[in-house]
Amino acid sequence: MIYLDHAASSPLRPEVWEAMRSRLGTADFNPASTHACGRQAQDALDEARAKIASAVGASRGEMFFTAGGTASDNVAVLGFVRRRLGERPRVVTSAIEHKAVLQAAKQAAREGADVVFLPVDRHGQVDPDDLDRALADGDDRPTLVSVMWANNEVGTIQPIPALVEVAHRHGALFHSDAVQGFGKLDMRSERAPVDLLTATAHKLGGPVGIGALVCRRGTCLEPLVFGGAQERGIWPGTQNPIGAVGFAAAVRLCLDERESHLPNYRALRELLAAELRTAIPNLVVHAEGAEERLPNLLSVGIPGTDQGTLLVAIDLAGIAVSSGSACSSGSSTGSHVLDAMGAGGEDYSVVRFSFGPGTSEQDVRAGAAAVIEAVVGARVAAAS
Amino acid sequence: MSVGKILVAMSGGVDSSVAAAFLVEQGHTVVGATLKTFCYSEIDGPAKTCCGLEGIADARSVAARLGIAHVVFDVERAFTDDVIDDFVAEYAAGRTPIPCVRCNSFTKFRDLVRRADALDCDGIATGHYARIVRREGVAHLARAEDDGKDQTYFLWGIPRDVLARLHLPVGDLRKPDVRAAARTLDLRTADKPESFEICFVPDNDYAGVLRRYLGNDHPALSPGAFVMEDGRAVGQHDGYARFTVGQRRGLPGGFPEAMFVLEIRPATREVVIGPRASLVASSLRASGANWLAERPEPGEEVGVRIRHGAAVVPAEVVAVDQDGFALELALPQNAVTPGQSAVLYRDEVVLGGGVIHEAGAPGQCLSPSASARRSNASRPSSERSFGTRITTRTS
Repeated sequence: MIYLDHAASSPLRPEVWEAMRSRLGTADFNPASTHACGRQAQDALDEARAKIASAVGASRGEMFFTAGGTASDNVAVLGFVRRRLGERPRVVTSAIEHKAVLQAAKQAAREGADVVFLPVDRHGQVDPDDLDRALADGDDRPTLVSVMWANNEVGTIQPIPALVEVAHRHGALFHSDAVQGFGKLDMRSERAPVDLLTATAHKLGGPVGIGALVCRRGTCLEPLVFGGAQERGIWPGTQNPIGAVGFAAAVRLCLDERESHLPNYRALRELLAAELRTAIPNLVVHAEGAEERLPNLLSVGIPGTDQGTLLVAIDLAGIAVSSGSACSSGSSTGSHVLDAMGAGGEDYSVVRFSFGPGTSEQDVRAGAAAVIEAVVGARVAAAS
Repeated sequence: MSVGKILVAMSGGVDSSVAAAFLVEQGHTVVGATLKTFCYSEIDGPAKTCCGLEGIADARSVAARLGIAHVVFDVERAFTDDVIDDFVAEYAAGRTPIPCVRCNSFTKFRDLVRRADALDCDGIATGHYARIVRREGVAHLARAEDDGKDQTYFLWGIPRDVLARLHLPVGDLRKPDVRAAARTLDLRTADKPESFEICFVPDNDYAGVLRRYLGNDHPALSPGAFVMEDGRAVGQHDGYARFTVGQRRGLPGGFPEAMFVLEIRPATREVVIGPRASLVASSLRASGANWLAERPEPGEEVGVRIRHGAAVVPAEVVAVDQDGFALELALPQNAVTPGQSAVLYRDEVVLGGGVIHEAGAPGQCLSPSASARRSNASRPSSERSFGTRITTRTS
């Protein structure tokens, strides 16, 4: 199997596993325990917390561990709204957010918040002027702007510094779901001083089941689950020190390798697009005209083909890719992201390739060949 | 017979699990495919949670146990267009559809063939209780070894050219043997209870499905009169779509003998009831025919089954044309219901079938396009319909 679906989950890296393994016996305890074992676990947790926080220029006290990206997004959006229910809270977000933000925003609306969905252009970019207009009235109202750093389906990177500047000018708080770009893009606070940021370990070759919410000091949120005082009540429940150790190791690896990996990803992406385009003339590269795109992600559209059949043909050829968002039932429901970009449509297949540390030029050529074989052989033509 | 790579439809039930296992044992390269036809969760929640549909999970688990690839094809839209919409329209028109026939005829087999071609599979296979027999080198569909389980009643509408590449590995077995094979292979589905529901009708609440698609105030779900054969009104019902020809339950009482639904008249919302003697028919007319063997000629003696699980009874073909056929039954049959299938057999071989449009006294249904005695049988012959009572087991 050639794995080109790192945006869904990037396999646990051996170095990460080694870091986690090395702490078995010294960190796999309950960090809340007051005995020596608990203190060791607490130390591991705190060390990991500091490392991850420093990746975005935050302090240890501003970093909360959660169960993952969805949990962090939900706490950010709903936690903001519930804290301010009596003050006519408002959420301004984009039409192409991950479901973890979109559904949380819809729930916030059901609970009484005003929710605004900003449009995107055909490359998937939010225009800071649109945000400015959306915030033009009601500067006195508590407002959270939530715009993802990089889109998981098509790879568009948003102009986060400009958007943060607009939000702060109107007195709004800014949250970014940074799950896809974390560890790859420059997210230091001096460049983009977001108030809330979501990250997760398993997109970086860390373990599944642990995420982070970076929360600038003074940003008050209401918890969504209730229990002990862990993570200062923001995400109570026994903490996961071994997971945190893995998360931190993965972040460290990503940052160390960034200089060498990113140009490589970019080259692979361009090679893949070129191979596909040569063989499939009507190929559409999504977000190609965006100012910035994730270097390790390529999303293409192929008109006149059947999505389900194409994905299965590629799967059976031994290549792991996706249509953009994972669903274990193989459902190929329309993409809200492509809808918002005005792309896609009937008999239109989407293939998303995403690379990780081990991806080679050979892998990418094999991936291209599998898609070309399926499409050019006219074997996956749409039924209609 | 083609050997090699086979795409097997795996519903997540025991029959298709064992079908896949047998093909693996026979040395074929097997790809398991589950067609996702319907998302139950749409009824209840805002988010689709079909990722967890039990059938898909069971099929995946069995495929993993067998060491074969498993894929899911989302055919929800086609299934809705071809099967559910028809199901609803048929009830609204006072008939009683068989969605399984409709699905096999229009959705399942065509989709499998299309996907098999796309994935370079020579053959396709299902877990139906039916057999492929070869007569002078030509593949025919034949009744299952276990006549009590025979599912050919649901299969008469499949494309004829599928037969040459179709494998039905459990058609030679009896159900207990299938379960035993599944246990021997340690398949998770070995003791899964049999499904008697239509896949998109949870809890057999078909009126609930109709309400959802038609709305509460649709004529088919609105009050109307029970009338006798002479037109006398004898009570009120709460929607003719809740009734099917031959039904006893839910009728007004106070008659000296048991009463049955004889006819449904959507135009006036009347449900006609009468005694058992009025329920029997000796002739029938069917349309929307599909032939899986040489089309029979007028005068030919055939066997016919008018309901799933009913006996195959002798009949004479009195007329046959492009669209359908007319039969004289050797023995009168109860509740020959418009919308149900009439499936024709020569010995064990399925000749084909059609949808019953009219049933009547001897000689009444002389031609496939004869005028209708019953109002609910008068419909354009170009319109295909399929149906039977809701209590039939799924297929």
